Amino acid sequence: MRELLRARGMYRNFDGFTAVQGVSLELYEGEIVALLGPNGAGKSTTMRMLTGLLEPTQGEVSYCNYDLSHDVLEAKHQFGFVADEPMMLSALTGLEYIQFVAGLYGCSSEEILERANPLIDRFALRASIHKRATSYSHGMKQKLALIAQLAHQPKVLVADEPSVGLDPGSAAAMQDIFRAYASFGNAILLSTHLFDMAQSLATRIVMMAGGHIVADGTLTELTKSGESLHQVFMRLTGEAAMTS
Amino acid sequence: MKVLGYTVGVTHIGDFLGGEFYSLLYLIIMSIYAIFVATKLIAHMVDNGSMAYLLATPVSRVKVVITLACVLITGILVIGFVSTVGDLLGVHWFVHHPSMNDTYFVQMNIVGALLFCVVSGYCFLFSCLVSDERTALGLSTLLTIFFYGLHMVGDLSIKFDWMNHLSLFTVFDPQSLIHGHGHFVIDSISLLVATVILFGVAIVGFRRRQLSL
Repeated sequence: MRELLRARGMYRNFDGFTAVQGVSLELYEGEIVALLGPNGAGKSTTMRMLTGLLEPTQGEVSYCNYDLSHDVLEAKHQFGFVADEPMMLSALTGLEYIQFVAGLYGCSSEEILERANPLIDRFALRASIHKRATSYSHGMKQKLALIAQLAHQPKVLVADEPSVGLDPGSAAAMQDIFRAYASFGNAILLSTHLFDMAQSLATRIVMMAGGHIVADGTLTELTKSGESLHQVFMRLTGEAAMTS
Repeated sequence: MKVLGYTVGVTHIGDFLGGEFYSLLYLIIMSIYAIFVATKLIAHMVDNGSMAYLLATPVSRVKVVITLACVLITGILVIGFVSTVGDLLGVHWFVHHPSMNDTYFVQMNIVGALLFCVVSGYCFLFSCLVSDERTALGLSTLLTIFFYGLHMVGDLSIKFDWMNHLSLFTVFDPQSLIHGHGHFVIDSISLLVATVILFGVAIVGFRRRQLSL
């Protein structure tokens, strides 16, 4: 399988506090990787470094062999990012927002509509797609941000807690869309606090605590001792949180 | 009279416009536009997180900030253009035999627009460099009021005339410019250079800054 994302030895310091310590991560074609960790584990900082929003104090990130610090624009063409707090640009309708975001990746209007229309229907946003995006609820904004990022067909989708604010039907639709998207040779990295979603959706689970990766494996590998995923999580992240 | 904007008395419609509109209302409209739009374009988007979406796209940070600077300057130029054309049309439609010199009137508007390009420049600089929207808004407003206050007090009495030399607004004397008494070329070039420097520093500062997104 082809490697789509490679992060090596990432560190991030904030005024003497090290939020992320030596995190290394790879994502391959067809993978859906769930990043689990308690609050303050370093998940969001890791996500921001992976998307170029925050420069690592040390370490490197590359997408499809494009280094994020040297081949910035080529690397950014390879991924899409959905932040935990979806922010819409005022004055744009939902459809205009999708066209604007995907347009920044060089997609034509026809391509965008062809890719976005099925997702708009799947997420039940058709009735409000011509309304101002700033008037949407949190969940609707989250769905719109996902559609906008999927419309430019990134090789890697990085999503920070994408299910927050989604109703159960939309959360299920999102999981179906993610599975289908990964099956076309793309990869998805998502952070979540939901064990059910990590178990049912992810092909690999990465656990973080105290700025470190404390576990990385498939559900079967992580739970081979007979413990549930939740028990593994508590054992690994609880100990790490107390010692960090 | 000087503090009210009438520096050379009222001899034609241009003096009236210079004293009534360009010495007060024009300054207020342009200042409000420059301060609020400059803050909204960068600091507000960084503060609420929407900048993260733009910066995660394959568009360079410099391209993003130059585009936003162009939006700000375009607004200033559009307001300047509309007030120039609107006033000229109004004067020629409604006033019989206006003795106002149209060339000087246009020159006055050019200096006014360039002055607010400089005001936009420092507002944009604050917006690019400080960490939150309220601080950017506060600094931009304070500096603008400070410059305006110095100019106003400087016009009150000869004793305070030295204050005019410290104020940016002294460059823009509508009544003198309408009569062709100002230093149109020197003032325009100086304001243009100051605009380029301020926006240049803002762009470089934003490119190098670690943003709290």
